[in-house]
Amino acid sequence: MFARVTSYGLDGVEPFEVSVEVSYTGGIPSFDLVGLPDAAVKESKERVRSALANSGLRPSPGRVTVNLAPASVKKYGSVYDLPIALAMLVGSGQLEAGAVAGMVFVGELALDGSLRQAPGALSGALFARETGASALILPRDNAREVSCVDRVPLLAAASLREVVDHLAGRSRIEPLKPVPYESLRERASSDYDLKHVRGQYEAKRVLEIMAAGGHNLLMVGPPGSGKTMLARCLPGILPDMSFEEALEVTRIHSAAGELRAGSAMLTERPFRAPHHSASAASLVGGGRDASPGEITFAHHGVLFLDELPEYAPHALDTLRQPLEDGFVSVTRAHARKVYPSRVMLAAAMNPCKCGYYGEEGGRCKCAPGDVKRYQNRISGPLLNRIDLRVRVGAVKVEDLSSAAPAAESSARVRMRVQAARERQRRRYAGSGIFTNAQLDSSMIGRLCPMSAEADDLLLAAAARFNMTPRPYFRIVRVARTIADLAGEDLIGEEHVAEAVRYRAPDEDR
Amino acid sequence: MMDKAARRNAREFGRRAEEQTAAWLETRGYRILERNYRTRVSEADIVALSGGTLAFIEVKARSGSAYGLPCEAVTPRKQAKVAHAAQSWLYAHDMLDAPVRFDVIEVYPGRIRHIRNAFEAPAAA
Repeated sequence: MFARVTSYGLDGVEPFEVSVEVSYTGGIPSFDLVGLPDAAVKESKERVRSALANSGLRPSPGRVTVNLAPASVKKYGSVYDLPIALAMLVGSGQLEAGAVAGMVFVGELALDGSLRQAPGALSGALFARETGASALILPRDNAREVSCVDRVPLLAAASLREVVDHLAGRSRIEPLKPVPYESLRERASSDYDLKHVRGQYEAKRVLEIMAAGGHNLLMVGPPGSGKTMLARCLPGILPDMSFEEALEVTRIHSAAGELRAGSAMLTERPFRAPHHSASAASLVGGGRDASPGEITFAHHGVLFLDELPEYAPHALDTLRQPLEDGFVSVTRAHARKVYPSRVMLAAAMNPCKCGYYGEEGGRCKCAPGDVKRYQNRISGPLLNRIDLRVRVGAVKVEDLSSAAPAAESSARVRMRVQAARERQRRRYAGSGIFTNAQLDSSMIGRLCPMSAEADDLLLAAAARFNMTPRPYFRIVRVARTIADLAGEDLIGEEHVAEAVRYRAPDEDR
Repeated sequence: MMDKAARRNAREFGRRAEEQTAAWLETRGYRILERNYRTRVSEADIVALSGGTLAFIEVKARSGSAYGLPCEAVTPRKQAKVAHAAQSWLYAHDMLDAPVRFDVIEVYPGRIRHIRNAFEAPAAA
């Protein structure tokens, strides 16, 4: 007999339908699994057989052929265990074909018949909704992850037995109650809060501008000046993720199997800090299956590169295109996938090899040529994509004394950031961009009106520093964000004056 | 290694166990279609028909437990041989689509254990 059960596969994070077909025929008993399965799918035979036996279910023996259609697309992972087991039960007449029709199934089986977390369940829930499935049956460990998806019945089960009893009408699994996304959005208090950072007023101001306008940032300073600590405070001042953003981020992490079992949708923006030994493939994505890289895991959040010149120059340069475009196309011999990569880049570096170039007291022992060489390890095109550059000096002792005024908390900074983002959202509605960092030169003239004094100042600065158009537009973008933080529609002289401070040090010369 | 006499003895012991098994199966309604079916490279001890299903039965006898369970002696290699014999038998009798089963019967002194659906043909590829 023949049976068909619907499941889904993932192309990157995008789901596509997979039909699990089972055919029982006479002849020599055997079990064949076809349809481009990977090793984990192939092993599903043993898990399914054992799970069925330990659930008190015995599909009749015979010649079993399992096909995962479309047969030309490679299938990954263990998530087809449940649909295969159910198709075998239907094929051997132990379950009505009508009982599984119209539903979508996903889940890995343990040998005892219990269901284990399936990667990519959130994509599956959206798939079930889009295709108008009558229900998605998935492991209980995925229940919280999909709990915000409404308008499709989602049934979470703990075991194969539970699913079979439900389908046979012997018992009932209640659909999950959709949870509003806002209810998930309570911030875990982070160890990193700006109120713990003494002094460093300029650096904190720049972090705020970065968060408000979505700009990329480079911090340059001696060891121990708190660059890493400052960067780690970023998630706490970033605006809340919208539901759509949270969906995208959670789907990426879920599809890659990076969500803990029982984890809910992600509500905090990701902060990824890959070590400087990271390869190009681990940063932008790659490997045999073209899996996502750090820049994709940091989508809608922060990619923090500490000790920037220590990264392989080749690896850094591969970041240029994804930083510019907001997506990355990873191509390998057997796979081609497109992943989103809209991140804020935060980078930190020492000014020279010993770390003290430019500090007072002449502590730097580097020869001038060595300083230049060190700084040249960052390629110009990458630097060009960084709007904000700030020098983070050693902390002043008077800022550490208890008499110094208490620093502002991250929560307060976030409120200003949120307001500035809201202004941008309104201004750019329908234009395809969301933040000032995404402004290109054609939009700047249209969307960034400037006072006459601001214009004069900018022209004077451009002449004084011999500026080319690129740094010029960079300053306008930053000035736009500073004006947004101040709640001004018109870019004023003081906004331009501040923005000029954060231009590239190398462009001074 | 066994000497010649011991090997003859072992063969005799196995043959008697197969006879005993065949008789036992017949009392349980099995129709024995063939005993010791051989091809050039493989063999099946008993081919029997029961309730519309063809059973290819491998008989393993033990006089003691010194060498582990008899069924453990039906290695994947042996399973493949029985499956091969079955294929050839089905072809010869033009019954390639008939429902088939592979059983193992363990024979102990004074006791018989029948394992239905003991194994299936190794997956192609």
